[in-house]
Amino acid sequence: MNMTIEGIGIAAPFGGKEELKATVLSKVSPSTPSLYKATTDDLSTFVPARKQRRIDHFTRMALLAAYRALDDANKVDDLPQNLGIIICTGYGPSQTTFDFLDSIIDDGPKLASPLAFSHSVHNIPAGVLSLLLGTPCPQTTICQLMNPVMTGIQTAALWLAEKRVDTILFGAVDETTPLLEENMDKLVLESGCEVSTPVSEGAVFFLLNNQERGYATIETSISLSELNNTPLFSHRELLKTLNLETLVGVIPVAGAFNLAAAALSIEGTDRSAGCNEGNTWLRVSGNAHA
Amino acid sequence: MLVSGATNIIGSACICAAGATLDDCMDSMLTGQGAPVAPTLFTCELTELYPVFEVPNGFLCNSNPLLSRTANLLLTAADDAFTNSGVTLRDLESLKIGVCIGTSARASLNFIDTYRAWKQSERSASAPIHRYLASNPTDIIINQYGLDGPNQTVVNACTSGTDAIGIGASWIRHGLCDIVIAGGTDELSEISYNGFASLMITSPEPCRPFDKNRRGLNLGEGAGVLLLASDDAVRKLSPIVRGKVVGYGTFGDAHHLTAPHPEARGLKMALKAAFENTTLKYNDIDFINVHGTGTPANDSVEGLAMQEMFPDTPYSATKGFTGHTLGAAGAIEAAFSLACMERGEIPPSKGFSEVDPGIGSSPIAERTKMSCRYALSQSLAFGGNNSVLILEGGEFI
Repeated sequence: MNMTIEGIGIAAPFGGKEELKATVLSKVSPSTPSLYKATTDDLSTFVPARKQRRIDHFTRMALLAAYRALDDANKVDDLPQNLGIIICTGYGPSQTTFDFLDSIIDDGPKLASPLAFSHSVHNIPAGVLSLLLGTPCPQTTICQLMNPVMTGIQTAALWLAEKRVDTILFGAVDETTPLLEENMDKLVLESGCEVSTPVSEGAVFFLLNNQERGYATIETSISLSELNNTPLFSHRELLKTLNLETLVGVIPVAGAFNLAAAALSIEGTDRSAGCNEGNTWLRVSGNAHA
Repeated sequence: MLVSGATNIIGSACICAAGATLDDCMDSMLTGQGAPVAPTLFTCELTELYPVFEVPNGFLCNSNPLLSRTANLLLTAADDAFTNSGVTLRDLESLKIGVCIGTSARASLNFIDTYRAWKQSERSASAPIHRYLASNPTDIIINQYGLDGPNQTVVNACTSGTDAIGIGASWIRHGLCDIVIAGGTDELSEISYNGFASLMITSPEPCRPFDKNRRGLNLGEGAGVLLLASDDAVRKLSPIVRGKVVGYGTFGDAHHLTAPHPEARGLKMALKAAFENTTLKYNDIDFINVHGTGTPANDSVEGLAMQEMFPDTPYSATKGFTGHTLGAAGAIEAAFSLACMERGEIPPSKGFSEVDPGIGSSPIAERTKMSCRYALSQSLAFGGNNSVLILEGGEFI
């Protein structure tokens, strides 16, 4: 199944799409972010401040990347018809979950925060996005540490193939918390490995459809043997070559950054690249002919 | 027009407070048994007690202490689905098998004791973290059965189970899998108990779906699993085909994060989408399993949609027997719907006694014999999600 990437939006500690593109095209190792926390102040470009109240950091990252993807395709003011939303994540809105636990521990169950509880439900970011866009639409959220991005891409391809939707805002989001950072250190210690790259966070959104014009075409359900003649932008190789791991940090949805980097590197060419998460592969091809 | 094609169901199982197996659940529901009790799995510190539907530990065939209760519920249901399908893992060796499971509470980092210890600057224990990492429902099934096909953990709150089955069916339709283990699972926890209480939507008494005097939901726990199969897999395995998934639709309200659209906007769009890939008309549906949580808002909105789209179709609510099992609910109720068609009987909507004038219709109130070919099972959720499955029962050769 094929689909086209029409827009890319990123909200990450290193910045957005342009910063990633500069790194990919220059093939120069980027400077390391001083803090692996994404800023979302630019959300005010798209969403009035009064509508941002009560929105947590995880959702803000998702919204900013989603609006940037729409903006990248000049679709903010002219939203695509028959839109769908798919979000994948490794951990979901962790800090909001911990905020709810804080309210129980600090104030007692009687004063537990209904806002933190409801917003810790993992499909709320997709609900907030559709609400702010004013678009009732098919929406689904995926939470898993094993291949979250490829799984989400597969679902996007199916929804387009089945014509449930004509366009999909597909996003990958994760956030870091102090507890997650500490636990990651602990798990690394237990495993005997040595990891120097910090736990990170961020959001990447793609505007996907079946049109021909865009950054690149994605082919899903590709076997490794089918990629024999394709330069492999495998997660490991790309990160190693461009030192993107330093830029992106350790994040369950790193595959989405890899996919964005691959698409940006072959935009306007007739080249292809393979991207993977685990044993799941897809091919990204430039749309020079379009 | 959506891509059409029915997906075979060759195994169906569930575990919840109503029973350890689907047959047990049906027997107890048809005879009107079951009531919620004070929670025993965790300590309640709230002044008011909200009864819940707990699964007795004796129901669990799997009780691996290294896994979450959610995982053990799921494994119990999955094992039962294989058993009642007559298909073994060895039979499936040459087939591509996918796993698509919905959950809600279990996807969250809800280990409050670990978090409390960490907040108090104590060294947090590793065991809960390992248990969390090892208990993603999809991973559980993959590891248990040694699978390597497509996998997805759906976290759409209370529509998760319904969505997992709908997505799994699409994997079959598009040839990504020969078999899909699809369903939902969720456990009761202190976190969801306090969370739903904070939202003031839990009832201090047994829930009363669609009743005029309903006061909210009772939480429950459980798991439901359907084994979905392609036509080729059915030809190869020769199992009994127990039913088909013939339609699936999902739509968000884009209205409110914890309340349904008052005019059932998303639900009606999901219903419409579910029919778009079928040749069925609304009046082909013989009965509807409604979400029926027993909250004033949910039941009013569903009642409105029923009146507009299915004014003459009987509907039933089962959460008076099971409680609201969150991410498992859609899968458990899909299994119930299938079993109702197999048995030709529908259980009463326990808790209902008086028509709500605001709804203007009543669910099936008594055990009812009914010949059914098509059933519809619908789920609503936080985030504005609405999802619908159309299931076909009967004899398939």
